[in-house]
Amino acid sequence: MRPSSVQAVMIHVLLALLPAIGLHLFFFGWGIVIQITLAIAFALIFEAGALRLRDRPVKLFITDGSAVLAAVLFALSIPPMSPWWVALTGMFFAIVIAKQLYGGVGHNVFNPAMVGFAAVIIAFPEALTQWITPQNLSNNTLDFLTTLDTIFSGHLPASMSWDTLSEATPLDLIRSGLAEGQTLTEIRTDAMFGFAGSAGWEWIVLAYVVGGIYLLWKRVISGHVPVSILVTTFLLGAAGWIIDPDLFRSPLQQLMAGSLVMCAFFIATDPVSGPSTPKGKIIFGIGIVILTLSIRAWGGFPDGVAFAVLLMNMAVPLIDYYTRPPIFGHSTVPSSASRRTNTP
Amino acid sequence: MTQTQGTFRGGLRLHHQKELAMAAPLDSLPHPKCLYVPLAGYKGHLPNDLERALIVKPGECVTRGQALTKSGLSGWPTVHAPLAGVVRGLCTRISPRQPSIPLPCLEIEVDPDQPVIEAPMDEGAPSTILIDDTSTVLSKLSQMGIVGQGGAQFPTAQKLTCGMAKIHTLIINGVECEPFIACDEALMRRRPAAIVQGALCLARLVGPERIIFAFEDPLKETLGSVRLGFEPYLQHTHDLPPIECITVPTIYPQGAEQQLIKTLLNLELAKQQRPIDAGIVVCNVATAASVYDALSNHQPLTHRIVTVTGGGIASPRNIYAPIGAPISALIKRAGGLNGSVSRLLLGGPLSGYRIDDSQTPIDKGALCLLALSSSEDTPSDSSMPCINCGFCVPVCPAGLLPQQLYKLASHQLHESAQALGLSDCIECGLCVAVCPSHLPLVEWYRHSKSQWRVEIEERTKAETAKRRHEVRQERLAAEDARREEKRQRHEARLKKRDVAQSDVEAAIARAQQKKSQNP
Repeated sequence: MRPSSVQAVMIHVLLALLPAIGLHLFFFGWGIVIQITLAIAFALIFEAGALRLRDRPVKLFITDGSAVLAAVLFALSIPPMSPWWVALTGMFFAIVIAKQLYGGVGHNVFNPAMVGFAAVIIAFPEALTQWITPQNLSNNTLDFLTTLDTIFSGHLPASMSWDTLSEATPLDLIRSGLAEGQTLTEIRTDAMFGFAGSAGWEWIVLAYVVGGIYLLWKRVISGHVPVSILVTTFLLGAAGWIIDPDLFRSPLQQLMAGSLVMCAFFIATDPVSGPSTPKGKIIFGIGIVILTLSIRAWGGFPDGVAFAVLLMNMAVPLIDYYTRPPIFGHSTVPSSASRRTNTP
Repeated sequence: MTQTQGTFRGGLRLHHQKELAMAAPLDSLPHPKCLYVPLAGYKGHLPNDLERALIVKPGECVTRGQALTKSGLSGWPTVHAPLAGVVRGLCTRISPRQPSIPLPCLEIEVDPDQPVIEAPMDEGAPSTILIDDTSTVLSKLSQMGIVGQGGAQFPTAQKLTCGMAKIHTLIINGVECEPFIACDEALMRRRPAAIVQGALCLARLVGPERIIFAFEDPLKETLGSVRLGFEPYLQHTHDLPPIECITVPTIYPQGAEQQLIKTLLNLELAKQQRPIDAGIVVCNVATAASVYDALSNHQPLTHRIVTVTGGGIASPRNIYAPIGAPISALIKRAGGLNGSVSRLLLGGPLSGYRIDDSQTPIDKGALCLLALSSSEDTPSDSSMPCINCGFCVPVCPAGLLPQQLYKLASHQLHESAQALGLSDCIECGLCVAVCPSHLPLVEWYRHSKSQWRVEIEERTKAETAKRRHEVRQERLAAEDARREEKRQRHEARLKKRDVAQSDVEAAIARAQQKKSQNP
């Protein structure tokens, strides 16, 4: 049975994110917990303030869970050690600009979490590259208090430096490596690539898949968008890889590194900013993949999911218009004897 | 017995809830004090002059089954007195189907001394009715007030004759797919022979190549198969094709004509196409039974079975009640309301109409009075906006995009809503049932449809006025032109006369000159 209220829909999605959050905690430490807490707090403050200003029932909309969900998705997209103002800025853009200014829940044209992420990656490009090395590849474990201190002060304790803590992500490595003329085979020897594309991340990606399957099972989301994204990524990735494996990464790498899988199940499936029609959802997914892979290959950012989603959000009305399902009886030509088997 | 393979697109398997009303035996309604016999027919259709259509006067005593209106009015079957009593006169009631238009009714004070009418039962072997003259039989159906009893109340005689195509399939609709409603099941268990004979009458009238009885697939067969009761009566008749019993999946709205035809014949009727135009007649089982009563026993349609059920009813049951009995009388018979009612509906939980006035009478299309308790009802806190979740898209049997229609309808963009196919919405209510925002979608669709009708009417009026104005302008211009021409002609004539005058004057002058020169 489908969830019976908007709140239930949001709660199901939040539950589906739990395995990924758990693995994030395991691989990257306490950061994610603090980021989620911060983002939720900012989101609720902004939401309540905006609702008050708009003269809307605060309690009703604050408890619908949509702001919390946007906050959690945003927190999962930023580096766990980002300073607190990243979450503040991101949530301001997500909740106030992208959501409330458009009319609140159900009326936003753009995916709020992705608007927030796009804003911070443009505003704080440096902070957004400081991904710490997964804990299975490094000996530097940050305890809770150090993490808290780093996030709130905006810089590491004097005894530590980003050089020892963080390492370029696989997507960054590929970008800089290719720029230096290395082949992908050479770049991929780095331990950061793990077994399938990105150490640590590949497990989190699998956790997103588990969460996504839960959502499909609960029928919160339909399979159109995830299947469309995963299949297109695989096919396009395979095509590039076959043409030149030294220049284009393997389809598995495309899927397991970066946030395409998270996008497939949790971002692009946002109903409000996505298309309504089944066919439209498939086209939406294909568009996101083409844009993401293009940005990865030729764009200025290591990953392009957020921009791809936002660009496709703009295309939604057009997609919906051209992909309307056939209405009952409209494809039939009226005929008086269409079922007559034999003439008397 | 065959089971269909495919089904229609969309729809939803719902919890049946029929057992609630089927647990009690079929009951009869004790005489209410007054009956308010509705005079409007299909879609509120009324004869042009209601007063003159009546053939009884206030104060007049009527017997049970006596005709109250003239027969032979087109599209308007005769209305009969369900019980003996005294005519009190015309009055109006609010119909839940069209609350904006008052429903004219004839008030009859019921004679309390007559015996209570029990629901008829099959008695022995039913007689075969042979049809010698089709038109006589059709007018007889109209005189007996036979209309479709699946809800729409379309006159049966008209239904059989209004199409141009040769009828190839007769479908007897025994599918009650909406939860709670069990009036047809009660009838099918009580009168299988009458239903079969009525169906055969209809078949003899239209001469189909196939006769199909449609049943639901058994979900909860606590009382045994409905179809088994029909078995003894399904012998082959020499003049008709054999009756095919087909079981269809219980997916709401399977009982709707278009969906049933799609399931049984895999035929999708075109937009606005009536089944009869495709050579198909679909008849409800209750209609078939009343056809039998009319033709074999000369009994007009004056009673029907109504399911009174729901968690808010003290002891739910099916009640055989006279047409025109107030809703309150039926509810009282079923033990009354038990205090936990959140909504009182005429019809099922999905497509039913809210009852505001319990003095509203039941009509020939009243299937069910449903008092939903607050635990059965979907919450109606419609304060959450649509989040475009799309749950409504896969369940819509018409293949529409309900969430987009809602946005257009609520923004008063009725023309755009029409362009997106709002007129194809059958108001089944499934979108409301799955909506996590609990939006009253169907209410918005009904609103938009009626607003669109108004808009069209206004547009036609404006168009007519514009044309009238243009014609007037043309006429005025033509008149002006004619006048102008006349004036010019006149002027020309005057000029001519002036010329003539001046000629005369010149001649006189010349003459005078001559005179003065030659004295």
